[in-house]
Amino acid sequence: MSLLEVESLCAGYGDLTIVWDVSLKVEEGEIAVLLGGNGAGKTTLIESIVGINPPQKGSIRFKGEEIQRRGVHRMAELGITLVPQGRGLFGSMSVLENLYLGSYAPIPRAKRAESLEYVYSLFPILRERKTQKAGSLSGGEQQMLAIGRAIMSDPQLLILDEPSLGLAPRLVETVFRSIVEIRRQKKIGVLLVEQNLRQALSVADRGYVLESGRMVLEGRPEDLEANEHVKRAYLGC
Amino acid sequence: MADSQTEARKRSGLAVLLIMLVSLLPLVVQHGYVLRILIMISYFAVASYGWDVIGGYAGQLSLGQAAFFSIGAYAAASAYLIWKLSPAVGALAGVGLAALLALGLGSLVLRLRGPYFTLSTLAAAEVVRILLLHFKSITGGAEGRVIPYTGFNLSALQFATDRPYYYIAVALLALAIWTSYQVSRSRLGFQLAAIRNDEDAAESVGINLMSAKVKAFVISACLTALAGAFYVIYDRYIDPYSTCSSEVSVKILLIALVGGRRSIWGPLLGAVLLIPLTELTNAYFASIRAGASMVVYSIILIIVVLYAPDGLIRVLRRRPSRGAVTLQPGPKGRNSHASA
Repeated sequence: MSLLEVESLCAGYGDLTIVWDVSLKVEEGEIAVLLGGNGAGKTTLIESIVGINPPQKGSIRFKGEEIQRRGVHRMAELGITLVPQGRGLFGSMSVLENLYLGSYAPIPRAKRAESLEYVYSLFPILRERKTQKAGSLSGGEQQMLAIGRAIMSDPQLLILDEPSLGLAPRLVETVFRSIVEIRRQKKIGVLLVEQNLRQALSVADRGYVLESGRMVLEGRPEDLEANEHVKRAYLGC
Repeated sequence: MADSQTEARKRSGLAVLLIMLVSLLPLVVQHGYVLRILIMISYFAVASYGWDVIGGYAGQLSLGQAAFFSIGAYAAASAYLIWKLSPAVGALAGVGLAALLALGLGSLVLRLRGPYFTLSTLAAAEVVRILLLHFKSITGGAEGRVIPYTGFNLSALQFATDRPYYYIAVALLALAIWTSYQVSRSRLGFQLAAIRNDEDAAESVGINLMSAKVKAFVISACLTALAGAFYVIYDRYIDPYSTCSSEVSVKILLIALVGGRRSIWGPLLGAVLLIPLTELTNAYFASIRAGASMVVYSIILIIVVLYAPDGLIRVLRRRPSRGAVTLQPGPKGRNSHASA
């Protein structure tokens, strides 16, 4: 039984379907990467999985259980946490308040102090900045806070929507390293949505390529990297 | 420790001084018209504190507060005129009805975000006004209804002078300020702050969006209805245009906006500035053209948005607002993003 299993999912807005018949899975303790260019449907797919924009067709199972139409606010309780594109921080609140809101659901709330220490050990800068407003942090710090807040909810599945967006290459590396670290220590499943193909594949156990709303390729990262189509379309060689 | 103690003593001293000042004010103010304005200030401040719960704390711009204001007003008037009950009973019933409407309407339209929510509230208030105009036998239709003065009568809340009305108004104002304070430091207040910042993110950390927003809408409706009910009990005249026009909704919103949203004193400051100003513009410009006060309002709004977007209370305190980073609805609203 996979941690997350999406089967023949169609998603879109109103009468418009954007993602067609997509299937993917994420196993426990594994980093799966969902790749695709602008407008491929990556965010639509992710928002459909967590229920922000409920799917038009298909099934979504988490640990074998159908989770469609559970309501987005139930996802954190179930153990699915999304770090949305653009980070979705509470800009007018302090770093600490943001982290506390991460452990809003009852089960993670019981582990709050422990999770907080873990987040600080992962990103020491957040401890220094804890009273500062989230909106006043630098881009890299904001991304760390967004990931930190997600970790505060003690997820079993962490979904990250383009965490490298707008970050300097060195920070992208820091962010990716922290994701690998979290997976290793917490043994959780990660679904990483990226445009940054090479770096994403370097940390992945499994890869998917989405194009114009359809899954065109899937497989082991080294196979994807060697694929002629991927090379031409995404790696520029 | 000593510091916080003197601070607390200073505060309670200030509070006592304030209460004394407020209760002695009508003895000093001999002019009936001035007292009337003070009463109006209080009622519109109460309505505006109500707006601030949904529009300020939750960040959902309601332009339909007139609907709740009228429900309170018509309930108080009808209870007295039709069913011969004390208008105070009617006021309570009105608050209950407004809460029910907010629950029903909110469950539908709070799913919408940003301007879509705002437009639906505007439409809802229009519907309420049309209904009030239509059911003539109860509401009196467009001519409205006058509550006749029958001499001092405690249960009818009719008094010979304006002083008792003033004390009622101030008591309701205190209730509204207390409510605003409680919301700001409650768990609900924290949830609303998260929602105001980013609805999707708030939902993904596990906050039940609809539940929190509907709660805020209900509290907001109750306060606004309460203001409407006692406004009519004092004014003794009611018609659909004076209680349920978009002008009323705008006025309630503007008071909070000018004074300062999400602030314990903001709506009061807004009312202290805007209500006397309305009186002045009505007195001096109304004969030139109807709606001249709206022109003045608009000019004030433009000035405030340009130079004090967080409200005047924060200019006085010279402290940035907690919500300064996200005053505008973010670009991440469900309806506005088409990115994939």
